Amino acid sequence: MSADRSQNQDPPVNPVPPSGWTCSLHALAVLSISDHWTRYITRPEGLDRPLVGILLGKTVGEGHVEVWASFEVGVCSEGEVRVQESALNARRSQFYQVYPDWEAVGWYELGGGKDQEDNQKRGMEGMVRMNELKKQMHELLDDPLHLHLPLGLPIPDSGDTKTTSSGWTDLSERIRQSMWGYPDLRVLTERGDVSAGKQEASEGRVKAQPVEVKMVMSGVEKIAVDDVMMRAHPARRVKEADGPRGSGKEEEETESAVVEGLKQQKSALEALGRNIRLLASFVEDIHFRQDGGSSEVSGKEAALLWDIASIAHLDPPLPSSLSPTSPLCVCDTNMGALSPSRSFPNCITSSRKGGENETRSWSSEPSS
Amino acid sequence: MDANAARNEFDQVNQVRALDPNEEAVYRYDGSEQQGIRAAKPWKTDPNHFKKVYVSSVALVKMSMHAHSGGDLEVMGLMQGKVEGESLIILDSFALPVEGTETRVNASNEANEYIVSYLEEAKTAGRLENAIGWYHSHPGYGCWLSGIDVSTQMINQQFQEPWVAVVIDPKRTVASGKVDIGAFRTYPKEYKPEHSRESAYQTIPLEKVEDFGVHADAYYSLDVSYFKSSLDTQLLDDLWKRYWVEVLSQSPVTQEQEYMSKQMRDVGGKAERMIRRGKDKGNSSKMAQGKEGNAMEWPFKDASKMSIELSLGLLSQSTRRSLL
Repeated sequence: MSADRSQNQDPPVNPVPPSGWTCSLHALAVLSISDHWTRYITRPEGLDRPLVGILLGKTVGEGHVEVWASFEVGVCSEGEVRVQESALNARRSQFYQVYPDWEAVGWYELGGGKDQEDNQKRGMEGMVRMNELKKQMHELLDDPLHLHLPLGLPIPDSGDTKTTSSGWTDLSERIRQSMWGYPDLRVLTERGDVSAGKQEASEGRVKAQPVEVKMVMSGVEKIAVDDVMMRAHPARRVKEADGPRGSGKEEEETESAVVEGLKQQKSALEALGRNIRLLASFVEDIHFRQDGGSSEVSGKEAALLWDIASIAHLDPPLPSSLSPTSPLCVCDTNMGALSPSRSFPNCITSSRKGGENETRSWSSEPSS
Repeated sequence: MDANAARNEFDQVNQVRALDPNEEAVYRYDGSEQQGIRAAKPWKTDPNHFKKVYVSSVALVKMSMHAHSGGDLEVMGLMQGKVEGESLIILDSFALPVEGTETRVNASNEANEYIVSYLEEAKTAGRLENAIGWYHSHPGYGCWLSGIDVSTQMINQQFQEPWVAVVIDPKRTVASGKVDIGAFRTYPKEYKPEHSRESAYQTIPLEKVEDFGVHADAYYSLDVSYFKSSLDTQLLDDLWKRYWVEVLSQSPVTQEQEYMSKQMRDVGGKAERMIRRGKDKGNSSKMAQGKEGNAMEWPFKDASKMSIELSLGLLSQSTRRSLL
């Protein structure tokens, strides 16, 4: 039985009506933000400041933003929380050099779940500091989109540390919430209603309003994500993967379905490759023989031909133009050619099964 | 059912796991440890020291998209990471503002300034790892190192060790529906590998065959694997559940028509050459033992590969039509 989603979903966080803006969030941006978070939690020294990054993409037409990628920026927290402006500008211009069509369309902040909860944890001082950060972002970026990811980061000044068990429970809970609907990612715009114009936003008269988010992937992005989904080791197994595989139960389970299918496909493709190689050898042999003026079929050719026909399950294996009457060569599929006698490709083969000779013949006509 | 039981059940059904920093240790960068490895230089005594490359999910997606964005032109970037034993761990990558041609790409002085500046800025933002290699694209002609690539990699291995070269083919990636990627390291100039490299067959366009063959023993390929964090797994799982249908909308049959046509022309060219050489009786024995080895098989293998890619494309189109 699965848990009832409707019961676990929280009431709408923001009663403000939708802004009219829509946002396409690419998988690469999600992975970059995820990478930012993962690096944060693996730092032994921790970090006592918010995690902030810049969203790169394009504004497409009126009211739509496409977020392709992101990068993190350092934040100073001495006295007031401020983004390192020179570093932000330097990195932004570096990205523009490679992707001139992109612009900094917004910023993200990895923070806690609900506004209310955040506020309680942060306290007034924390809120003021975050507002300063938002104000600075407005100064640095032109009409920024604000992506707030509820990854459950223990809030600075809240007394939490990232290593407490409650912190991790909280994180799991937040991730679960985000899994239940990407609109919960709470992408907000402070650009104001599309119809209201930018004037209001710049004057700060328009509150942040939710943006409709759609997760998207380009063609190659999908392929790469697919590869990651199917083939990537969990990070914790990178070292173990150097040793013999399949030692962990979880890994075996992961492998069982997807990898087994892939292995079968690989084996089928290898078989196909072998068949084609056989055919190539046969053609090569025949070709040189004909150039040399000989029409005789060698034992090798006959054996190859038999192999090709048996692999391809040809029954009847030969075109009707070829007479089935006289056995023209006899070859042993186990031991190689025995006695090539006449021309290609009528052939009787004998193979040993269980110590007894067994003779099989080809025919292009129904056997009587 | 109490709340805890319901929650446990939910966690089980949805495979929800709390993140544990120790499980993500591969993302941790220990500068002094890496410095120690660089000072010890274990690769100096064994030219085959590095055997594996692990690429993070974000680096893989970044490199694939950058390679694809170049279209028919080669693009280039750097990778940041660290060393763990005999493995190179690629944690991140970044594109370089370099204009390549259809056949080559190389970093200019301007790009070198960009690299220095980028790495400094990355460090201020908390990415402490150094550059550990370079990647570039081979649009449509497979993952291997050309003569120029070998020279570039050799120089970097002399002055920048540890250093790895990664090649991505964006055209074949789309055609095969799987990232076409290879990782390589060159041997020292004086070093002769005991056995010639026996790698899996790959289609090399006719005009590149010579370049491929001449330098094939100057480098070796490393096993490439990917890794992802627990958060990546959870986010991607969910993303995939929602958007897997879109995968069916892409097909090499429609998306990479030009590449497919090129492939067909290439197979035709190889078959023609095979026939020509076959008729040249004097060359027959040479062909069998020459550098090109069993060149007779090339057109067959390439045609087979192409037919598989086309079949997969048709299959996905057919599935999509049935489902949607």
